Amino acid sequence: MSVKYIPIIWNPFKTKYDVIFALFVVLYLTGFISISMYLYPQLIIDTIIIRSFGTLAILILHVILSIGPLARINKSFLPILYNRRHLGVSMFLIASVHAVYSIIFFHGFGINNPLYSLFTANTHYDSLTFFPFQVLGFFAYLILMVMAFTSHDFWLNFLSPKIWKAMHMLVYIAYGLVIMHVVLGIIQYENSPILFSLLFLGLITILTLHIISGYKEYRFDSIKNETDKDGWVYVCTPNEIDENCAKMVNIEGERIAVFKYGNKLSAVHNVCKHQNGPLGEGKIVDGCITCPWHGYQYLPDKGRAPEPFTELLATYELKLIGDKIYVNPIALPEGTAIEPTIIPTEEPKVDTDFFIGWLGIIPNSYQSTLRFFVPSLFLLSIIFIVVISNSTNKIRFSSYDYYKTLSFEGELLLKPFPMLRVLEMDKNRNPKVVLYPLVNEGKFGADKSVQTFLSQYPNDKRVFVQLQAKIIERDGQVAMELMNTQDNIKKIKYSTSIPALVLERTKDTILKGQIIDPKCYLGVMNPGEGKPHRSCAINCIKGGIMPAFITENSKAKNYYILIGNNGKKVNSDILFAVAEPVEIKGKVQKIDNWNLLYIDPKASIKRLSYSVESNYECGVLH
Amino acid sequence: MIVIYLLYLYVLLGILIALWFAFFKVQHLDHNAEETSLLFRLLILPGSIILWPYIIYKIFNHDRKV
Repeated sequence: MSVKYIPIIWNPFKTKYDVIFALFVVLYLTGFISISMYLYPQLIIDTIIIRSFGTLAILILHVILSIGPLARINKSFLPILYNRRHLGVSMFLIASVHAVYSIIFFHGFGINNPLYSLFTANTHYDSLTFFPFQVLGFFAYLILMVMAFTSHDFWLNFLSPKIWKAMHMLVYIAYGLVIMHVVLGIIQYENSPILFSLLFLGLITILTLHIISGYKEYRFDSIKNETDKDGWVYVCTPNEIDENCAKMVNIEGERIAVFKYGNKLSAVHNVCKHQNGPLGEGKIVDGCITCPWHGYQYLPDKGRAPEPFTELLATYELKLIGDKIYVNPIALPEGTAIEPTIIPTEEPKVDTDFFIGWLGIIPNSYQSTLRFFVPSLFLLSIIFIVVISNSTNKIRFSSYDYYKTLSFEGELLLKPFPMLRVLEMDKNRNPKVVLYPLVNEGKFGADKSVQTFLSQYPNDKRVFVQLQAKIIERDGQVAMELMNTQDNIKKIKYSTSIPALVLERTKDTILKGQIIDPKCYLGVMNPGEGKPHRSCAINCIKGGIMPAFITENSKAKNYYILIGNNGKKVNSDILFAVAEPVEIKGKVQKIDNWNLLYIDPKASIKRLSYSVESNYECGVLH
Repeated sequence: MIVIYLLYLYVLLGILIALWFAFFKVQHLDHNAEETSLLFRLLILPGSIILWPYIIYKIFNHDRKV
């Protein structure tokens, strides 16, 4: 790390590692996307992409957090630890697809800046049930971003290993935020306990591994030292140290590694200058102490890295009394050379296995663990994909063909909401008028487009048009998305076959259900309701799309367009209650195949405390 | 929105400082960065954009010592 920086370090082992990892990523994404498309053909590709990349990032984050303690518990995992940096940066890139796509998808294309919308669309910061979970994911993403951007030895030197390490320990905060992001987000929307169980299992695994490895360290650190009359600390006998290996001793919180090589003994500070790796768990290779984590090397008797490297280590004096090794607890300045202590009658022992990443050779004793662990990860991922895909529910049948524009003729109206009334045939070939609510592209209502067009004909009581639109459909209920192109709407001759809109008498009603934006709910997004979609629905309604209210139970499903008692729009007044269970008191009026629900937004809406899914088992009360 | 605009300002300043740092200044603070490739300098750009206040602090301290 003290010679010219290389942009990305690749050696045969790292290349092999990265190829296997890339294969894993491709297999996971292909598997997840294929299974989701097969099981739920109605799911839009955007949702599948967000979910596949999100779940993959969480899975890799768990692997990354497991590697450290696993390598402390069992040395065979060191080869996986060696390339953790590439794993971390890749995980960040995968998480980026999830994060950026979600922000654009749920918060973009509206009247507000996507970042502003992220923090302000859902403002239930005081509620655990309705908490804006996307904000948690955003902060986790920021932490991962800082970590990924500083994952280079240049930053390790520039920031100093201490600051760099502290910064990278923030991964645990990011992990906590990710867990909360999932728990307060998609898991609250899904009914199946399997998703929660999987996440819980992951959390328990990470905690258990850290506790076990922490306990191992604690046990070592709690060994009481024996000192001689000069205050030197007893380490062990030379026979207790394997050839070219070390014995560590903990003195007042600082670990010292005493290495034996041939008939020589040398002691250095245990911490590697690269990433604080435990040198005492390393080995002497080619006459150099070699760190077990990334293979950084130091000369044991010189307390420094071999030329041209410049890293220095504190060294310690040793003495041999009989067959007892003692170390002076007072460290000598870094880089102080000390003659090795000679063992007079030491018999050389058999060499032990040791992995050095840049050599690319995995010792035989490590291979069996890796041969079991790596394929197990692949297998677990397949099970993970199948279980997640099968546990997903509430994927309703809806459709929105972005690439297909159709032509329609009918009566264009602005009030009570933008709509096209079209004459169609029912099942018995009888003519009937069907009402299509109109919305614009993006998260915008069609009020302005329709108003601009109708203002050209101030003297016409009824205006008939031909327009180009895309169909959004769910459960037979249809809305239309107008194209933003010029001359999209053309006036056609008056049609007598479409009767004028007649508003029936109103009826007082109390309903339980959910306020949604019809554009997303009917098919532009899937799912287009509930907590995961809340921010997007708020943005759509803010942008002018007519708010709708749905009530649904096992027998029936009803759609109501919400409107003020005075006939004015209520978009900005109902934002606090969007996409959550609410009870609404108002007056219902039939309008062709839709309903209008006149409300006083300040007095008519009551937020309900029970979970969102209860919403689907309620309906018209009176 | 003010916070968002401040964030944009932070990133914009970060981009300017990062470009100057990565292509002209980095080798003065870390000799291992001398004669490094274009890819290396591009790789340290994102980190420099985020950590530009620390970079300014380090440069200030370094120049004062020199």
